[in-house]
Amino acid sequence: MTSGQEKIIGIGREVSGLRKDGSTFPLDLSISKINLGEEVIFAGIVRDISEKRFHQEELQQSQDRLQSIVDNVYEGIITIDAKGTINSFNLAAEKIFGYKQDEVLSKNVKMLMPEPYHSEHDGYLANYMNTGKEKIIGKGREVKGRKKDGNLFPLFLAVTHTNNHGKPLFVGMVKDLTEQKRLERLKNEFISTVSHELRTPLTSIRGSLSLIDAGVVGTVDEKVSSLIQIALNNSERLILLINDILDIEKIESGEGNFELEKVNLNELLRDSIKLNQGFAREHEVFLSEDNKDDFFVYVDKNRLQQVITNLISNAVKYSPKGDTILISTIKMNRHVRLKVHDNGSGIPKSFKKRIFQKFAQADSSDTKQKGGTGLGLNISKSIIEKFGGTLGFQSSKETGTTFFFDLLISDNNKRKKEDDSRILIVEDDYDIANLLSTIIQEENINCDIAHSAEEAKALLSKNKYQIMTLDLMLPDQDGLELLEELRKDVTLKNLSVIVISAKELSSVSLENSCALEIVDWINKPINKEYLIGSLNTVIKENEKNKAHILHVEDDPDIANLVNILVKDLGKIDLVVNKKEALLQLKKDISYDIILLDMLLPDGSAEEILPCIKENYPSIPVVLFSAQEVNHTLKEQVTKALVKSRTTNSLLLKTIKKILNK
Amino acid sequence: MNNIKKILYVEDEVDIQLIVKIALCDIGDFTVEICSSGKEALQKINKFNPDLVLLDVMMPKMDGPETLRQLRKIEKFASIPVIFVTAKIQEQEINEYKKLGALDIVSKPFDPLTLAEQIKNMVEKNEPS
Repeated sequence: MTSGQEKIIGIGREVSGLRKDGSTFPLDLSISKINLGEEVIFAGIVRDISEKRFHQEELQQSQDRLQSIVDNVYEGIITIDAKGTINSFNLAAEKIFGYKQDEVLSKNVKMLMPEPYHSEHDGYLANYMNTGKEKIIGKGREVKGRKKDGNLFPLFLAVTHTNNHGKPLFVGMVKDLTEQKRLERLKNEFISTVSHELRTPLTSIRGSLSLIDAGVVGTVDEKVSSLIQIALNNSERLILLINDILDIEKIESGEGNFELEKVNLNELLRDSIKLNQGFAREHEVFLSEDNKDDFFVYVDKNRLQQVITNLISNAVKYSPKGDTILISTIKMNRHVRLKVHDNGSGIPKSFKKRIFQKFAQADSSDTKQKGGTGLGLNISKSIIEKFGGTLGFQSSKETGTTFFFDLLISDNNKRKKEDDSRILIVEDDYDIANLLSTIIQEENINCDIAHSAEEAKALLSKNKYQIMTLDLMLPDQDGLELLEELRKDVTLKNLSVIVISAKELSSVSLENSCALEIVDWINKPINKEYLIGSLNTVIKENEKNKAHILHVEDDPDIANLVNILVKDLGKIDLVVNKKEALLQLKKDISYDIILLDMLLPDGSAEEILPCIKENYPSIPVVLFSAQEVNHTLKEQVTKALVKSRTTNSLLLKTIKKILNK
Repeated sequence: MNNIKKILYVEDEVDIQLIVKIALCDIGDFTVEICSSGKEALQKINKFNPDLVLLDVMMPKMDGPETLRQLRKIEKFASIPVIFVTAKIQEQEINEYKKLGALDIVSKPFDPLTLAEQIKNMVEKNEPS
């Protein structure tokens, strides 16, 4: 109405309205022309859209803010759908790859990947993104990306899988590592050069002094000799110092060049003792060891020996003459502890805090007597920590000093054959099936082979499998179709499926594969390391979901029965009396549930409950009794079951319910 | 043990040359010919006809590995034992040098008093059986 007559009638417009008080407001106006006989009337419908406009503006602001955040983030963010089509590509991604947003939107993410990834994995981004679970993908990987100009570059990629209104969405964060790598390279070159520049003159200094001192170039006067000695000792010290400093630099910057392997700790220990015998003898100290069992740890042999030598040499330096240093190993649940004990006067209280710092030595007067650079413990600590262990000490004037380190025992790196992880290989090509079988058996995992969908179904109904590898091109049924069928079976709910296929990922409907819960997709030709890594990850994942059960029961029949019933739910630790139960409870094991027999040969459940309350206050306890359980006792446990009245299924149901499975 | 009598020693640092000469001749009983560069080594090797080459790694113009490659081209010395001397010990470098055909590595700083012994041990250890 404010704009008066309109050429366009019947269409609403947004205009501005003017109120009586002079304020303006947004207004939706639609005008219709009405013919009343000879008169023409214009009817206008007005709607105050202030609120609507306000919400629109807010929405726009919110979107702008979000877009601004996404655009200003340092890392590239790329989102794709299940087929690998790029849905969004932020500003940082544009800078990293060199493409403008509209050059990549709606195209397949493959274009950002170089050969051989492009063909071999059919686009690893899509591949990993498709396998969905970030647990398989890991927290991020270093891969190679391809820029618009064709150049390859190192790239850090982390992917998460989410759902957006029912549609799977994969969000990839990418970071260009080129600069980081360049700096790393510079640093290494620097260290290398410095090392050379420092060591070269020292070679000359130490070398000439050594020759003079040994009388090789003529007899040396006593006074001259003592001065030469001083110079020689100090140049030796400098050399050790440079070595240590460069060592620290290497370890701390991750360049320790660790070659990890399974090592027999006791063997290594005995070697170290042999190596240090001479040094010990010089100080009139004896080395003795006390190790019965063999322990295996996953470490760099040379570096661990460096640590052990460091601990032994420290002990030797601070041990009273004529005394013995004891080196022992002891099992601590899943770790092994190596201890080096000396009967010296202990570490002064004030020094204890500084002991692992660089250049810390107990007493500056000691430095000259004891030798050493003051860097040994610092380096040792770094090394042990790089192995995932801990280095510590206990010390007092009366008892002497014990330095120890704890390392994870790697006995179970290779699974034992009795492990019940079982894999079903579904593959019609005999050669490939055998290859897979060999690879899997090398890892000490049991497996069976099915050459067709029919065989697979037959085996699945007969045996229990944790993991199934699935070839998509089976003679009698399409692999994915088979999987769809299998997923309808509730008993196969926990079956992890790894697809091993020559089929190109993009040609298969990926939307389905998320619904089918495929945990990984491996392309042929099969990369052995990748396959083993994937299998191990899946098995570890499955183990994590298993419960750890403590069963206190002296009757072997009942123990057996429960074992069979509950085997699938998790791992059972069985103890047969109160004493063992109490010991077991003192260990640092995180149990998910405790099954407690009421009457034990050396006591009753009631005597164990206080210990449970102390160490595991929040763990559910199921009490198994021959008779009715009294009220007060019932209150102390999660559930009390009477043996004669409890069927197997009730027991299982109870446990499952408690574990929330 | 092979009769190692003559050692061709290639090192650009003059100070170290002298130390090694004393270590190997006076203590070790070897006959040593000193070269200050890879080029000089290639010139002198035929006339001197050594049983072993002791080769510094870091040298200007032609470094240790390159000198080794050039030496190996001379038919007579294609499989002569070569020991590298270097200040930069990185584990992966040791393997690389061995791949190039070096017998072993002596790291700087070395003890001149035991250098001769060290070299004898290295040759014995790597003796083809």
